Amino acid sequence: MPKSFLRYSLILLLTLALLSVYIPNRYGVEYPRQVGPLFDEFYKREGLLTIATEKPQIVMVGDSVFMRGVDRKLLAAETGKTVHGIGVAGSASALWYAVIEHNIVPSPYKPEILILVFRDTMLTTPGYRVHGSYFKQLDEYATPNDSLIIERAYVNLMNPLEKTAEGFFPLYGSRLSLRETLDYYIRYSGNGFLLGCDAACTNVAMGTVFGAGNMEQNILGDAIGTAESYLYTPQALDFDRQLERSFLPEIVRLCNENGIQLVLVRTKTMRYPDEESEPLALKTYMNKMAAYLEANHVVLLDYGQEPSLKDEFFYDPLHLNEEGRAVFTALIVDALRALERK
Amino acid sequence: MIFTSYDFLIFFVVVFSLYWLARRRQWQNILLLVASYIFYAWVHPWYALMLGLSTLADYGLALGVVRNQSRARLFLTLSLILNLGLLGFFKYYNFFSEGLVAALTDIGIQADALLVRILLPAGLSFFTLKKLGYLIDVSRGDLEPTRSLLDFSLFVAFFPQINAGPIDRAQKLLPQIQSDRVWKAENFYSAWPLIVMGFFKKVVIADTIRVVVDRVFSLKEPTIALLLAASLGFALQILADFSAYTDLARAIARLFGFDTSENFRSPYLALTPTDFWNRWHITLSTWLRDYIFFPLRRAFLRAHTPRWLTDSIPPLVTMFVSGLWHGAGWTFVVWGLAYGVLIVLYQAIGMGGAWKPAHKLSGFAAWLVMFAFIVITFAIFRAPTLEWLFTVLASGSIFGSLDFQAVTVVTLSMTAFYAAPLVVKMLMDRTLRADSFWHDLYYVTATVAMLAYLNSSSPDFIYFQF
Repeated sequence: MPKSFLRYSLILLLTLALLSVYIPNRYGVEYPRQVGPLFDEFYKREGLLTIATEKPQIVMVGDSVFMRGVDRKLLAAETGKTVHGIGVAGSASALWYAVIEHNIVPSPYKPEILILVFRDTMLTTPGYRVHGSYFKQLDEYATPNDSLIIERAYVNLMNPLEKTAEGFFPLYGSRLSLRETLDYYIRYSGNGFLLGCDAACTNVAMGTVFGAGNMEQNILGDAIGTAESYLYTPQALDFDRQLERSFLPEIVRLCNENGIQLVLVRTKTMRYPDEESEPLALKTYMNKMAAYLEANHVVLLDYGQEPSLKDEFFYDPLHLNEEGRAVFTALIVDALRALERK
Repeated sequence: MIFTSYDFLIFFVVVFSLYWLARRRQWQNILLLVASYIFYAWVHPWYALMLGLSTLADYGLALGVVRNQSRARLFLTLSLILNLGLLGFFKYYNFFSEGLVAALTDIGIQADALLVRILLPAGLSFFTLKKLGYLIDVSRGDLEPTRSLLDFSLFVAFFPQINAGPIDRAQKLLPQIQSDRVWKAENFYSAWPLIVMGFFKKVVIADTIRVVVDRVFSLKEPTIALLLAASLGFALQILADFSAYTDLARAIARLFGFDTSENFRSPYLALTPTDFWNRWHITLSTWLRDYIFFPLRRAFLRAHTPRWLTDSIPPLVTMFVSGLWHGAGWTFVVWGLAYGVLIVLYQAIGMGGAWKPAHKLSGFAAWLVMFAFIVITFAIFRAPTLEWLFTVLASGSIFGSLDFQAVTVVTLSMTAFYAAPLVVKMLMDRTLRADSFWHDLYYVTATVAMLAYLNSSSPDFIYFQF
């Protein structure tokens, strides 16, 4: 064995051994540790408090597509029901499940209807939008006891090597904390020194400069398309395979056990805006989902190829503009009225 | 399949074990060929069919060239049509179709529905050049074509190289395919620094810096300072990303007993554009030099065209082709042409290929100017469109508000921080022995950093799209 490689191996082993002692002490984590992310004890309860005090008849949950696409005041006025919305931009099924589990179900008052606004395979892709900055967002709604979220959104999607490394290897297990510490210095030191702009000021600057209004629409559309492609992989489109790995059965169970009528609203996107463009695998997926939901007393409002949501009503491939918002809200109002008549 | 993925790790362990258990060259080659096709077909199986059919055609055409000398030119032309046709169809269809759509739309014909977008098979640009180089060398009499379909197919499809090079010539790779290979510990010892550096550059540097670079180039109107900062970041990202791929490809090839070509030699230390292309993507630039630049220049010299034409047209054409090879878009074409113009201008002022600085100060000045050109031309390369770039330069402010200044500083800080390890490595390579203690310490630090930055999945290598 060359001397150089031997020296490399020994220094590496020594460094890893030292880090394996230092890192658990630095971050207060015992090894071997539980595989998956460590959510903190804090979770947002605003939704819970509002539901308990204001007693809305309808609660709506979704991401920015819901926030920008549904006029809740109009919906309340048109249906004659009180409406409360819990919208989190960039959220997906893991966060929605956490919201239902910690903010809706524990309320002493249960809403009549829970409307969940989703698109295509979002409800059965548990690993969608759970890493990076999405993790921080999810952490605001999840608790350390959320073993189902940890298992389905993270552990189930890890390969055996990752599971072993995360459980037994502090350098890998604490990599997010280590990176965060390093990123903090790289990101904020220069501005503090050169411009007198501290961390908060830098974050505001980043938020302002990279806000949606400053982004080139075509590029933003392409970026959205790339990120969303996670929802259209062969695995994601296999409803039978994904169902038991997802949060959907739990969401359905929680609603049914608590007497809440679950209404799932599928939104239209510019990816597959009409029947001709929709791939066969997605059609099959949606048919299977519809059958599953019907068997479980869940209402599905499928606007995936709704012709009245015209191309010009879209701000980008996902989000509706003001005109689209009015049309989409009217569609939901009509559907809720029809549902009530039944 | 990405080299930094778990799928690849499993694939590699299986292929590597079977390969060295096979012992006999014939079995090893069969195994490598099967593995290469599985690797290539991982995402879109039909691409492997296209690779197989085009390989078969080129194998036959190359044999035809030597067996039927009178029709050698015809066989070469057929190969050119086949290879450039496939490349043109897959790579440039959308580029030209968009222009066609625009032209048809201008005269009132809605043609979008007729022209569906076609996905580019990964690595097509790389193995097309490999096959073309082989056919041209055979037709020139510089290379004896192999009679073995297996050997030729493996030369074309060799999995460490198929997606993003290095574009090794048949003269280098075929003799190795045709030689016996036995396991030597040396294979591993020469591969591990490349593996460490490959993972480090990809996982720690390229994937981190790309986040901020992508964001800046997605803005409607960044300031000029922010654009320059992001271009600097992109210069770091593309070098780290592409050289990481090359390092890993070379390391994997070494583990199978193959010696493949170096692709980068500190390109950002170049003093002139010619120097840059002698250091950047070396296997591509030597390919372009040998099969486009030299033949063109010889043709001009034979035709006794005026000197200024002989000096300017070959570099302009070569760099135009280089730009077009990198991507189907006007930004790439202009980027390539900009280098062509720079080469001509540098030659005109006496700073051509063989130029050496008289003293350190002139060397430093030449480096500074060339580095500025590299960063500026990368701004053209990375810009979403030329219109976008013109708008930013024409109407954008230089520094903008405090918010833009803060983002500019963040971009520069990140670039400086993640460029530092590469600068340190370069200095170490120039001043210390390869087996020095400091090199080992560097590799340990790189390994630790890589483990701390490793995520479950890594974005594609940039060069897959070319």
